[in-house]
Amino acid sequence: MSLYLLYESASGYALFNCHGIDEIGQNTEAVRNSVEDLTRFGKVVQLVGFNPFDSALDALNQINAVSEGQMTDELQNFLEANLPKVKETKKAKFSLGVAEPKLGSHILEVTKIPCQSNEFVLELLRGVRLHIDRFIENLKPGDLEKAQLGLGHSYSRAKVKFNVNRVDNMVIQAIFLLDTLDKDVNSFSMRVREWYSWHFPELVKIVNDNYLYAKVAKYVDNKSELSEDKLPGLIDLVGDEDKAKEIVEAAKASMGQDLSPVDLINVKLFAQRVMDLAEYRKKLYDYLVAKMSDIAPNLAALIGEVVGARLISHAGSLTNLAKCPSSTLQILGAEKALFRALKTRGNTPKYGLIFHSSFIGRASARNKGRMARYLANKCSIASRIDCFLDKNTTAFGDKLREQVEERLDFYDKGVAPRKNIDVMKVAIGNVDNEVAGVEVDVNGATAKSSAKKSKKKKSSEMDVEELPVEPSAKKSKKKKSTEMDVDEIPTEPSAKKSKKKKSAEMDVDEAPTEPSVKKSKKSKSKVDSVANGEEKQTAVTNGDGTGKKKKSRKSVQDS
Amino acid sequence: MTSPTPYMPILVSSFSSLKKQIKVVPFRFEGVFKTKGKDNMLCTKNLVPGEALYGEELMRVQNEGDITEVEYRVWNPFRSKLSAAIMYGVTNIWIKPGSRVLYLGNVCGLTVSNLSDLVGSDGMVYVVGYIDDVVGMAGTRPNVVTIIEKFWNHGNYRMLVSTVDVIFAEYDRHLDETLFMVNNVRFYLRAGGHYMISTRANNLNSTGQVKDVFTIHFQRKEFKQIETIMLNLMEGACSLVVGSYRLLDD
Repeated sequence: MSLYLLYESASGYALFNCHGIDEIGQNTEAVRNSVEDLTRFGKVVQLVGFNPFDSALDALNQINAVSEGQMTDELQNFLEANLPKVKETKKAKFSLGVAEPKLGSHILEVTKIPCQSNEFVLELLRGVRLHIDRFIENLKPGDLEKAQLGLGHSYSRAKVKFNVNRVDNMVIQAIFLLDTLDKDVNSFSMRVREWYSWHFPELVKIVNDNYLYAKVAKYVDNKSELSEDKLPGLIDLVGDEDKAKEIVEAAKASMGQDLSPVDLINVKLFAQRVMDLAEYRKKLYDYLVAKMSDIAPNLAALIGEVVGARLISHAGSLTNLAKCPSSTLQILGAEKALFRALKTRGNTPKYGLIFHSSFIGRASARNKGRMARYLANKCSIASRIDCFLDKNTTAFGDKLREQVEERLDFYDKGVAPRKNIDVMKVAIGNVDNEVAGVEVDVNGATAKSSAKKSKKKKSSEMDVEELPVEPSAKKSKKKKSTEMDVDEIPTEPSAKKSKKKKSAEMDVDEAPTEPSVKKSKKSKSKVDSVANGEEKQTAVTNGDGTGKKKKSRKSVQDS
Repeated sequence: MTSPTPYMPILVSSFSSLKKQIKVVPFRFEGVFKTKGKDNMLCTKNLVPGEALYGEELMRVQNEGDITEVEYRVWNPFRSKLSAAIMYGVTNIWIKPGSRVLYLGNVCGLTVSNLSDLVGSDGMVYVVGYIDDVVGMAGTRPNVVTIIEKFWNHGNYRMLVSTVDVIFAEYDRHLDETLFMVNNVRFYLRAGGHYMISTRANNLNSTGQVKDVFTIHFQRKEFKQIETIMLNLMEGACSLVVGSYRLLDD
């Protein structure tokens, strides 16, 4: 019975035939002794075939399959090409030695090649591993290592789920660049103003905005040529007719000296540069916003893109930000004041970078510290969700933002905010709905049709409950104002009536997410969903009272 | 503005005033050096000159008779158990330039970088563990293969590892994971190779001696314990067990 050996390497698959087994018998000791010497081992084991991998991607697929114990098509082809044919009814007269029994059983299943992976095979494979580069002639020394390096790197990357789009380094670099750009654009604008003022000093006082000044300077060029026929163009630029007239008047009576054409050209070029930089800054800001919504959507929804990006860059990375406690997040950026206060035993700062979000400004002086702490807690939650949740959703960020607003209201007017656990339940429900494929639409009609379509996708049983659930699904998608439109749906009038206007939105959110949360919990199997559908139907149509009672009971719990 | 993240390579040029006074001499093992002068610090020759990955000090030393400068990286014994073992007087580490090392368990990036310096460009270091930062470091060092995998799935990475001379492992729970370690040894360690395992010293037996976990659990002649070093580092007592595998009695 001849024994073949399958050896997987980073460069490709290799198949060996063991000849001298009869000499050494099935004795592991004997194998061990023969392994050391290449010539002796070479007599025992000989190379039958080597199949190099086509590309790096192919190699990655192969290693992923091998690590799971699965056989790929390439491996199957290779084996079938190089091993003797296995007849259907007869037992094969050879056996294939593999390193892992799992792979062996899969090979057996698919190709009927009997595999074994016992100690004897392992010893032989050890020998192969030791001498592999000398068995295969095409492999130069160092080739195998390079292949291992590249393959290991891509395998590890795949394991770490290296997602190119979610690299937070981009945001850190972008925010640094944004700051640098701001400084530069400002200093260049100052320079343009000074330079052009040699020629036309009055313009500085008339046009305050830097970007606009550069534009006007470029347009006006030589002030002695500024006449009434240039006025319409000037009005377009400045936007204000009076201002444009003022500029023209000032140009006539200007004290500034004349510049030669060459000088004027240079000023114009510089003004153009400043305008380009200002435009680039705007584009960079848009890029930053887009990136933030990719990597940290919840943080961006809560405190805004710029503050969020600053926090991330200050902490070093999104994971660092997620790791630090919320008290650290509260005073990120105020380290100098913090350590000074700690040294002199004074009062530590209440807020750092967080201060620049809008919430702190809106709080009264007494409550700024409290808002800062609360906001930092919520930011911590948001950053952790962003860092570790695979889904890209702003549901949590929006809900957290609502919570902060409610807190502000509480400090202002004493309105009791919702409990955190309820808000989070709603948020989770929203996330599940998003996953289910219902799109966020603004007006009722499209929401209705999209809800219908997505319901059809799920299962036919769900169609039964479409009518009552569909308007509630519609409601759960809209965020604020448009929800009032949906008031006239008869399924939940009592729920509406029994609530104050403020918490009506919350209630409406609450009620539909209750069936959807139920749905998402129970809709594991079709049977369950059928039961669910029936139950829902009976609950809503049969006992309108019971349905509403359920919902109103839940909402009482909330408040 | 903000300090860079700890694992980004920081370009450091050491214009230290001690530059002229530092002399670096080989220390006991090939590839390991020691500074002579004010401090006695263990160091290795930097494979990637100019890069100090974990904020350590780089020493530039003038070659005698040559105008070229050689750069060495300090090997911190408080952060790297292998370095501590060398300082504590292990007889032989069996790792030299050109050897292949498999590093398993609780991987410490610092040790990986110094191992990569030690074995030089001819050798290879295969690192198996869940270590994000090392994947980044491997980009600059062509002799480090990083495998993000649990070391008890030894079959999963068999395509990536060649036969190694030394297996170096650091893990805490000695009993459960010994079996998995043994599988690694049997797959990848060459006959006559050595293993070095560093564990917490709470596997002392009643006589206060650390027994090699392999020799206890596997009463075969394959594993032979050579020596044990107690490392009394700052955080707690660790021990390093050195043994050989299938040592040929030639």
